[in-house]
Amino acid sequence: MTRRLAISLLLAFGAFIPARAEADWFVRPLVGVSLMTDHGYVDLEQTAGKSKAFFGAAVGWQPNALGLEVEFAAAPGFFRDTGDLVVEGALSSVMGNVTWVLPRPGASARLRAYVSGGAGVIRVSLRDRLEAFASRSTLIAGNAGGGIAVRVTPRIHINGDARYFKSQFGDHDQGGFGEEFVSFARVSGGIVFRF
Amino acid sequence: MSRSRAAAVLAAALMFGGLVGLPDLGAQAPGDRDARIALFARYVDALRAQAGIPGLSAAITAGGQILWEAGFGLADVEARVVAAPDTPYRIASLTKTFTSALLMQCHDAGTLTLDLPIRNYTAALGDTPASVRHVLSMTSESPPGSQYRYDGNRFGALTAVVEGCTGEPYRAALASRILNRLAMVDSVPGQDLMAPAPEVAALFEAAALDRYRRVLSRIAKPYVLRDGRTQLGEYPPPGIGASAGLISTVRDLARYDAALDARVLVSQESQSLAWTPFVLTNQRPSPYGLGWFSQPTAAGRAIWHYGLWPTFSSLLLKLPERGVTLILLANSDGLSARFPLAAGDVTVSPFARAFIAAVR
Repeated sequence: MTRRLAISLLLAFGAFIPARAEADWFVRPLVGVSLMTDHGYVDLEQTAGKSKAFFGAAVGWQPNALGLEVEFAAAPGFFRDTGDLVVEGALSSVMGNVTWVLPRPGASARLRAYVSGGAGVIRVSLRDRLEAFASRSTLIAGNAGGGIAVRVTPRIHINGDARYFKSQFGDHDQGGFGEEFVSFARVSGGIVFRF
Repeated sequence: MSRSRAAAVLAAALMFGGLVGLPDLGAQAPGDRDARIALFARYVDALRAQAGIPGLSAAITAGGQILWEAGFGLADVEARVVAAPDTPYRIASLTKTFTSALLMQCHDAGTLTLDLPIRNYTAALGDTPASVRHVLSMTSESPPGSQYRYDGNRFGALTAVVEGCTGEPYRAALASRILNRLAMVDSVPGQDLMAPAPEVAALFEAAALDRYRRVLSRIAKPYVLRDGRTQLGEYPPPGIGASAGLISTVRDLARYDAALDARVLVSQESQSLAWTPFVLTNQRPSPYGLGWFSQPTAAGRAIWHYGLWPTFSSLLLKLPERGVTLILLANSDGLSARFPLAAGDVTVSPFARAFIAAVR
C-alpha cells in the first residue's frame, strides 16, 4: 500500500519535471479585495458582506502547462471596519495550488489564461476591545479560481486573478453565534516576476 | 544574476515589503467600569444586528439604581415604533424567577414546606414522589433529585403550589405580592388581560384593568427570522402560569432586581437558598437553584435566567460580586435560541459574555 502510494506520488511529481528549465520559477506579489464574505464569528463591526483589502505573494514553479504554487495572503482588517470595537481582526491564508496554463509557457502568446485550485489553511486572529471574543483559530480550507497573465517582458507579466475560498466548519465558537468558518471570493492583481 | 532578473527580484521585494508595514489602528481597552459599560452598550447593538433581533431593550443596574438603559431597533417594524426602556415585552421564562419569589415568600411565611410532595397540590405530574423543591430545581424526574433537566412544562405545575400557599389565583398573587408592591406599573400578569374573561377580570379593579390594557396596547410586536428576513410572528399563548406569561419592561425589571437585592420580597435566607445550586443525589451541584441558574464566571458568581419563545427572548444576569445586573428583552428569539442556555452556562450567550468581560 505504502509502496503503491510512493510510486503514484513519484509519477505525479514526474509529470511536472520539465524537459528544459527556462524561466520556470516565478514570484507573484498580489493586492486585491474580498467579495461575498461570510463567516461564523462574532461580527462586532458588521464586516460580513463587505469588501476587505488583501495582499500577499505566491511562489511557483511552472515548467509547462501544469505548475505548482504556494500562495500566502493576508487581510489585516478582514473582521474590522471602524476599529471602534475590534482591535485585531485579521485573516491570513496559506494555500498550495496546482495551476494549468494555456497556452503553455514557452509559446509566443502575449496573453495566457489559467485555472488554479488547491488546499491549505486559513488563520483567523480576532481580538475585541472588551476581550470577550478573542479567538485564534486555524481552519483547513480550499480555493479554486483562475485568471489571466499579460506578458510585458519575457520575465515580467501582469496578472489578474479571481478565486473563491471556503474553510471547513471548525469548533462551535464559544460564546458566539455558531460554528467557526470563513468563505469569501477574492479578486486580485499583481506582477509576475519569472526567473 | 542578469540585470533583468535582479530588477525583478528588487521590484518584488519592494512591493511586498511596502505592503507588510500596514499600521495597527487598534486602541487599548478603557480601564474603569463605567467606561467599559459604555463600551458594552455599543456591543449590544452590534450583537443585536448579528442576531437579527428587530427590537431590544436593555438596562444595567447597580446599587438599586439604573446605571444605563437604552432601546435598540424597532418594537414595531411595520409602524416604525422604536424600542425603548419602557417598551413592554413578553418576558417568557423570566416569569419563573417571579414564581420562585412567590414560593419563597410562602416559605418565609410558613405556608409552604418545600419538601412536601408536589402531588399534594396538583396531579399534573402524576403520582410522582417528587417534592416542590425538586420541581422548583428542575430535578423532579425519576428518581427525584438525581438529575437536572430544564423542563418548563414540569415547572408549570408550580402554578398550583403558588395558588395553594397564597390562597390566590397565580396572577392575582403575582400582582398583589410583587407587581403592585414594587410599583411595576408597566407589567401585566397575562396578555389575555387585554380582553379578559369575566372570571379573570373579576380578580382586578377596573383601574388596574385599564392600566393593563394601556400597557398591552404598547407591547412589542412578535417577530421571527426566516432566511435572514424579519417576519411578523405570533404572540405566545396569552395566559400566565408559573413558567411564563408575564409582560414587563426593562425599567420594571430593574425595580424587581433592586427589590431582590434589598431583600424586600424575600428574606436573606430564602433568597440565598433560591440562588444556591441544588445539590444532586450524587453530591454534585446542579446548574440550577430554586427558580434561578447559578454558576461561577470570570466576574464572580452569576445568578441568572433566560427566556425563550419563538417570538420573544430575554436575559436577566446578576453579578453580585460586581454589584451589577444586566436586563435584556427582545421581540424575537435572538437572545436565546442559538445558544444552549438550558444547559446552565450563561457564557454561551455573546450578550452575557460581553457583559461579563465589561465588568470583570
